[in-house]
Amino acid sequence: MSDHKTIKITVLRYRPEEEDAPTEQTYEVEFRDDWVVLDALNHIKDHIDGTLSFRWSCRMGVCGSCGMMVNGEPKLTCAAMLRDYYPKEVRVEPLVNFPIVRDLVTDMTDFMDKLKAVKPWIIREEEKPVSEGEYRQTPDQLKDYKQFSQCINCMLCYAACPVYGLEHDFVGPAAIALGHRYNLDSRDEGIQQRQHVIASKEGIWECTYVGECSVVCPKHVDPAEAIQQTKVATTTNRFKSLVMPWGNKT
Amino acid sequence: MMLDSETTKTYTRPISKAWWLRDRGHFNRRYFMFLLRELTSVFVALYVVLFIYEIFLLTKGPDAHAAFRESLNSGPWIAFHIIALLFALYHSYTWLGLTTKMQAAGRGLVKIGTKTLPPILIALGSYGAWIVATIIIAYLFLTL
Repeated sequence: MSDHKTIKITVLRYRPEEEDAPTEQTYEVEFRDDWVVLDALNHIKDHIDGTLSFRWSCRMGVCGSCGMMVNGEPKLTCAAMLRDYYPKEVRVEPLVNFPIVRDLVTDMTDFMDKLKAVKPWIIREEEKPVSEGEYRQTPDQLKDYKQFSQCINCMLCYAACPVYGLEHDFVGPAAIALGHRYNLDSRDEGIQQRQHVIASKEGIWECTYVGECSVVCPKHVDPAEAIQQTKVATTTNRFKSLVMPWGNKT
Repeated sequence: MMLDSETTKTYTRPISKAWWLRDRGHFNRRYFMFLLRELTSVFVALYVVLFIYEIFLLTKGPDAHAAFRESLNSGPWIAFHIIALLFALYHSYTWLGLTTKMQAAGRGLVKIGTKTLPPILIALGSYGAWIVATIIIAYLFLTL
C-alpha cells in the first residue's frame, strides 16, 4: 500500500500555558487512500507529536466527538476522507464559535447548558405506574419526530451558524431541534415547559434562516426545518389563542 | 467537557466583519446569498417609501402626481426600479421556498388525515398563488 505519497496537515495549535493566541503547525504524514482526517491526526499523535490534543471516540459517526473545521468547513473528522483533499494540504482547526481549550479541543459548556434548558427528555404531567405498561406509539407517531432524534450533539451546526457566532444567547440549531423532537413526541406533555426557551427571542426568533446548520449536519437532522416548523406552529397557536382565548392552549 | 472558567485560559477567536464574504480563507456561497437576502428588505422598504410618497402626492392634485411620475422616467430611477424588482423577486422566491421546510416527507405540518402533503405540492401551491396574484394585480394596474 505504501507508495510514499505524503500529505500536509496544518493544525491550529493553542497551548494556553505557553502562548496567548493560537499558532499553526504543519505535519507531513503518509497519505493513505483509506484514511480519514482523524486517522491522520491519530498518526501524528502516535508517531510524530504526542502533545497534539483533540477529541475522538467511536470513529464511526455515532459519538459526535471528533467535529472540527476541515479546510474551513465543520466536519466529523472520522467521516472526512483524506483522498477528497489530496494532493492539497488539509487544514484542521477546532470548531469555530466555541472557545478553544487546547489545540483542537473546544469548550462545549455553553452548548451543554442550552441543551439542558430545552429539557430533551419525555415529560409527563403524571407518570403512570409501571404496572400499567409502557407508553405505546404508532409508526406514524414515531415518524413525526424520528428524524430529529438522530442528533448526536456533534455541534457542527453551531460552528456553521453565523447567528450563533454573533449572538451567543441564541439557543442554537441542535438544542431547538431536540426540544422540537420531544414536543412532537406523542408520549410527551412538556411543551409548555420548553416554550419559554424555544419560542423566545433567543430561541426560534433569533434564527434568520441561513440554513447552513442543515447543510453540515452529518445525520440529516435538518435543524433549520425544526426551527421553521416551530415558528409556524408557535405563530398559529398565538393567533388561535387571540381569536379563541377560551380554546385549548398548546 | 465542563470547564472551570476561573482556572482555564480559553481562547475565543474573533469573527471577521466580512464573514459573509470570506470566512477563514474560504468563500461560502450560502453565507453570501443569505446576506443578499437580508439586503433585499432594504430595497423593498425603499420602494414602499417611494410608493407611499406617490400616493401622498395624489392628495396634492393630478399635476403634482403627474410631475412626479414624469421625474421617475430618468435613468437613475429606472435603474433603481429594476434593482428593487430583482431584489423583490429574490426575496419572494426564497420566502416562499421556505414553505417546503415545514413539510418534509412524513412529518410535515399540513396533513390530510395521517398523510403528509408532499413538500413539492406546498411549493407549487405557494409559487402558483404568487404568480396568479401577480397577474391579477398587473391586470388591474394596466387596465384600470
